[in-house]
Amino acid sequence: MTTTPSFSDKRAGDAAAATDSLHGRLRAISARRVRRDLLLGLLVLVPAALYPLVGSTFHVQLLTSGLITGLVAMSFSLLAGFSGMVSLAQMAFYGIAAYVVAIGGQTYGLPPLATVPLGLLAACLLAALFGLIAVRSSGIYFLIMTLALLQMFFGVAMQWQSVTGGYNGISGITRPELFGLSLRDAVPLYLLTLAVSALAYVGLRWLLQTPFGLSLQGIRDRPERMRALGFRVQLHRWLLMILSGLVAGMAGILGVYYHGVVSPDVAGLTASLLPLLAALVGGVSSLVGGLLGGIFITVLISVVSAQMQQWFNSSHYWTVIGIFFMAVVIYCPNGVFATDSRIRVLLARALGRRGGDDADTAQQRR
Amino acid sequence: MTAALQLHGITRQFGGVTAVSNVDLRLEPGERCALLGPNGAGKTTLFNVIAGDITPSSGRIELFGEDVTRHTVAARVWRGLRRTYQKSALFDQLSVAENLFLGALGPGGRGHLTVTHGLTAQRQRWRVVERTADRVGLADRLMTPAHALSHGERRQLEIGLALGQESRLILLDEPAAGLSPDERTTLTELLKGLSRDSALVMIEHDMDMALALTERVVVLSDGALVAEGTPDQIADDPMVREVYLGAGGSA
Repeated sequence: MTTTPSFSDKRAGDAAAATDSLHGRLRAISARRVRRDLLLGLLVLVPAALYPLVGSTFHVQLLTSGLITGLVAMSFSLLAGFSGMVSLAQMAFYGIAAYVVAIGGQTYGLPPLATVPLGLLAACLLAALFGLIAVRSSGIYFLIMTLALLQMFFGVAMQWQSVTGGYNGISGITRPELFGLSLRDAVPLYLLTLAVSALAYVGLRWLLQTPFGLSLQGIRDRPERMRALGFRVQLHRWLLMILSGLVAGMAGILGVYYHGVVSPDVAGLTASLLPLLAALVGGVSSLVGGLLGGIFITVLISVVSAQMQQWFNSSHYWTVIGIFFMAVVIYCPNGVFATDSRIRVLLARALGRRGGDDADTAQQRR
Repeated sequence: MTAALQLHGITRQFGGVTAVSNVDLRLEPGERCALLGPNGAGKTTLFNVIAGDITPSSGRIELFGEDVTRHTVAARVWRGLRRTYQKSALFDQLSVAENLFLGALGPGGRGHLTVTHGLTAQRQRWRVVERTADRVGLADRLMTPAHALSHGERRQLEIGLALGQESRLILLDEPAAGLSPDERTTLTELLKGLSRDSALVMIEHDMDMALALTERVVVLSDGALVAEGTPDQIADDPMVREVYLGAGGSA
């Protein structure tokens, strides 16, 4: 560092002391990272927002649906990647938010201004309830526990005919207006979904870089040690569960407006596996991976099913998707976008860059 | 003066096996005590009981004059108790600085959530991190991920995690496990240099190291306290030799 004579020597000295301290150094690093990510984010967000200008309605709808799946995948990754809780219950949170909006709107004629917050609240409450039961267990037991809770939700949605409409669910849900724009059109709904996804992502990213986020990562890697350091491990897990319920609930509300119907199938096993696969493709240890994975898998299923229909007159597209997932697990076990992903390494090599160096990986987990 | 730690008749049974049997122990603030004994003597079980991982079958535990027998692990930590593990339990994916930050955050946070942690508090925590890193000789490794540390450095970080904030009693479970003679010397110096604000209880198989670091030695055999005294007394005690070397070992 060069020393320039200055009249405000004291202030300059303070600034130097601040940057020399560990806290200052870390803040400088994180500020650099924020700037880099902001730039990257804009590079993705701006073209995404402009896409409807060139894309067809069908493709815009496909992207909307992909983002909705991506939001659920992100809520899954939040639990799995940052606290080690592999939850199959995310679609129950999606489902209850969707049902509350549908029932509130259709049965009671409430405006979206009331039903949307109620839906989010319901998703949080259900996650809080599930969490009370599930956070006591971990690993495979947590997974089974959340599966059981999902099935219970499915059962209630199916059986409670008078409220949920049973097997057929509730249909004919109309999309509201927002800022004078009717969400009935594909483009405004797409932009809203994009904005919600981006905000949810930024919010979670912010949260994960707070001491709370660091605690969560500690809990993911060594819950016992965290307990021995005086952390309330289960309380942290429980709060994260509620947060993930909130994110899944956002997806549920967007989903119910997108589809215009909600039925017990939203919490069925097939529907619940979709976000899980999306998170897997994107890599569970990254949040943005879930979003991208959601779009990826939605597009993939759409393309594969159309081609299967065209070439073989067959609707068995899951076979092909299954093969694809085997390849992902073998070649990119940490997700297609992870630093150790073969695809990313190949891409980086093609672009003439190194595949991420060691010093950086400690910082890149988020 | 209130004792840092006081055990009253601590017993712990696993099924028919008595791992710890009627142990009484009093430790003054700032005192350094070695816990010796052959494998299976119940040393780690006793640590687990003190730390709160295991509840005693009978007996009472007091920390700084307060009965904590029924307290959770976390509640004991907030009262100043820390421990390290025989096998390093670090956050491998986090950097040394982040590891130490968690070590300072947990106890200092009193279990509160720290989502909106004031900047002043954060800055102060990071200063604790720097100080701790300095104390355990990892000041120039702050940004290194824990998985990239050498075994010796990992043992140092293991201790650093326990120093954290406001520690008053530290249980060290074989701090030198698996270290080379050189690394052992480094660690001994490091432990010698720790402040007297905290009392220390140390399980250590290396007699020389244990005797060099402590002013009192307690010997456990088959779960029971069989000898107690200064390092010199213990080193000459024929009973201890027998416990360690088997019958006739003094010959």
